[in-house]
Amino acid sequence: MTRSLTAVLLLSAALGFGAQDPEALLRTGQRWLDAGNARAAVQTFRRLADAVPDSRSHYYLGVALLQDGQPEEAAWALRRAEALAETPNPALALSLGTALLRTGASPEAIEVLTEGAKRFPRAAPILVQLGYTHYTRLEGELARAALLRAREVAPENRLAPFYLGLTEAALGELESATAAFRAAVQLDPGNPEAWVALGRTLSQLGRPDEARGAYDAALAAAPGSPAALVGLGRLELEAGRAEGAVVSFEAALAADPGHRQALYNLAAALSLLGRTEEASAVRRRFAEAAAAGDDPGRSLSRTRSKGRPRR
Amino acid sequence: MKGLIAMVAALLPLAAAASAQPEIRFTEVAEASGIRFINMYGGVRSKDFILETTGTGAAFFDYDGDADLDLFLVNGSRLGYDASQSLSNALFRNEGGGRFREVTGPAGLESYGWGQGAFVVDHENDGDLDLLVTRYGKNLFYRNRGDGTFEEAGEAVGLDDPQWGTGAAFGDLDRDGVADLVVVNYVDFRVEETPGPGEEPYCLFRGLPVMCGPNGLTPAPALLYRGLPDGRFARVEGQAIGAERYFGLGVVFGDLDDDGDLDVYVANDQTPNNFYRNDTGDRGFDFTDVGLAAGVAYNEDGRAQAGMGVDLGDYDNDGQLDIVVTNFSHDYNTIYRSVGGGWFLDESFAAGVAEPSYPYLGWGTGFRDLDRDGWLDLVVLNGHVYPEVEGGITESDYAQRGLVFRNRTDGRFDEVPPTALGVPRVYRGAAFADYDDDGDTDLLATVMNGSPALFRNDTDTPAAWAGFRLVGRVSPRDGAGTRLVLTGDGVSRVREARSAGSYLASSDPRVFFGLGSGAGPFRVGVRWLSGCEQEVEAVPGRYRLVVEPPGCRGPARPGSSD
Repeated sequence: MTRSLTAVLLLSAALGFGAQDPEALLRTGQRWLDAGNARAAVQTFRRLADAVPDSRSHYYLGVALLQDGQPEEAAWALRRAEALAETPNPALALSLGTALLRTGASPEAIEVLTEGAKRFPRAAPILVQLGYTHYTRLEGELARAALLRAREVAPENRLAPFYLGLTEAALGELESATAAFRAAVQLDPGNPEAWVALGRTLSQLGRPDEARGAYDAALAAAPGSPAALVGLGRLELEAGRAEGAVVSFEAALAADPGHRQALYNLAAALSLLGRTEEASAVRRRFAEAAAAGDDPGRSLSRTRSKGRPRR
Repeated sequence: MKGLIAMVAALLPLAAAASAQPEIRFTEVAEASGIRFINMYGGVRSKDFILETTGTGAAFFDYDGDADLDLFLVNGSRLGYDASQSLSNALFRNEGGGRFREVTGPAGLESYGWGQGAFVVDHENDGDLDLLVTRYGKNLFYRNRGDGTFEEAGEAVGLDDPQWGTGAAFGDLDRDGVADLVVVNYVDFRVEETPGPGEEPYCLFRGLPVMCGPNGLTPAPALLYRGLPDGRFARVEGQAIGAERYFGLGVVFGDLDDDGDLDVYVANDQTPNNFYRNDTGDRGFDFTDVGLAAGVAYNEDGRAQAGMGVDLGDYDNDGQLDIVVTNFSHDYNTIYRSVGGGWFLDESFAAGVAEPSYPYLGWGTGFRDLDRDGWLDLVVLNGHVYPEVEGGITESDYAQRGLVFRNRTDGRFDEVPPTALGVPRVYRGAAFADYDDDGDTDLLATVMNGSPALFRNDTDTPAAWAGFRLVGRVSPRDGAGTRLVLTGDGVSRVREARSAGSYLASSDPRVFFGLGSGAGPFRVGVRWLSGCEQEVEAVPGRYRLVVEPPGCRGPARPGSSD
């Protein structure tokens, strides 16, 4: 038995951790993470970090805190892990960058991820996260560069083409966005967000038949998807088929009664059909939803209307 | 045989006009035309406050009654500067032959401060055009004495409101023969109460500390004025216009629901746009904001954008006015197409104007028939609000090029090479006019902290044109708001006489029709705001004077009591 492990066990005993050794704590915490119980994982990794305050324990604590929705604490733990690490670690860079982004410290996130990408140029997840972070900051060219590099080093990465598509769309490059979204759905046909995004760009390019196919695929992947139904409704509306549009928007609202885009467009479709009283009622619901929500029109960083992935 | 050859030869130009569209071409001629003017507006390399970002506008108007269009340019200031350190507004007289001469001092228009827009009206219906200058600070109203000079009469006529006035429009909203007025205000702004760059979360742009707002600051209410027969204006309260606060920048009048009166459309920054439907009748002003109901307050996602400039025009020639609004970068410029029944759809992508607009922050804009083919093309001027973006820190440029779109005649536009508008500048206002009377629409662009650009339209086209200069008798004398419908050769085109619009600007009040390759004859139905209707013949290659027949009144003219 090494001197350090003896010390750990003695310390554990002194702190009342019973017979559970650090490796057991680590395995327990990992099992909690795998089971999706981030809160329990946090508790377990806290005990581990208290018992063995090294880079590994703080890394796992940071990951658990991140999954538990505590990005500030996660960033602290991951910073600590970074300071204690003997060698740079790509997983640590990725997690720290993600935590910093979630705290709103995107410049720091960019710094960490850029450094990580330099040290580990073939670590696609870091490049993807770097690209996504640039995208959230509306830094389209930088986002595009990172995501193209991610696709180059890991053609099988499912997120890279999706975020690349969002980036291209945000830059107004709809043909490039379409190509990227097509790549995304080829890699991950079960991703409804990618199908909806593809449908949207195709619609914006004036290719309604192809857009309809993409929205149908989204609905196959996620039956009742409000975003896909709204997309189909917009196609109907633009084709002058207001009745069909109403059916789609109402179906979207059945799944998500506060869906602003569905409410807004349903009111328009009802107006076009001369159903003015119903349209007025829907507009009232829209106004309530707009008042309650964070209107992207009030934030420069959110003026782009296209949906962004939930992280 | 010779006769046949001659006939074919005669037809060739028409065939060429129909098959090959001419290149829309602009040449920048400001300096060569005698327009020497330096704009001063806030910091050059950085801006500490939003006041320093909006820039200034311009007005084309015939101040001396010699039938050509003169040019008024608005100037600004810098924080901490007094009049002695600032630069004045300026008036340039059109000398003919495409030349201008500055006459600011003799005309009595020397003025300093944070000017914004310039708006034109014949408020006493005396044939002399008067001028409103909106400002951060008291607005100025210059009454035209009729001898080539002006006197400032803002206080005397009741237009010296001290808020931050930006866009404005004159028009006879109650159809009593006297022009009324809407002034939109931007922000309830005071330097000493506003955080500095980066001091609040809403004072960052892509991580860069930048000036704050308008998000996070207090919007300001629009002002509605009723024009009185004695030349004064009376504030009208209790109407939808001004009831809610928005970050107002652009305002335009037009008959959006085709019911014979002028409606009011306002482009607001970061807040929903307004469509104030005019239901004014015998009991005075009656406006309802139907922007949401009509589908023109938000974009297709139900989201407010950052409206700056605005214009109206029937780009699809279906007889109904459509709307264009310019917006922030990384967002798209919006076209609301009228689909009948008072409803509009956001068809920006379908029209082909959304995608090219993403990198640019749009300001002045206008639907204009640049190649005389009878279809309205589109111009958008751009320029960022943050000088701090320059230098590669972000991908945005501070100085940006303009966008020119050619109408494809199928409901879509093609972006075409902007020629001289391709030079990046920090553009703001756009005033459109055929200043050289050669039968095409030219463009004056204001440039923040720079010299204005005068873009002469040098499109080489054989297409014919016809123009109309309006003089009202029962309706306001300047003819603003009059609707003209040109018919002939199987086509029908709707245009309205309108001066105020775009961004902080006033344009050529005359009505212009491109006649394409049509041989005519073309008849033009004229509907005055009085309700009077008359019909005249278009005279190709000329601006025809059309005077409202004396005593002519329409059937539905409401009373003027308020």
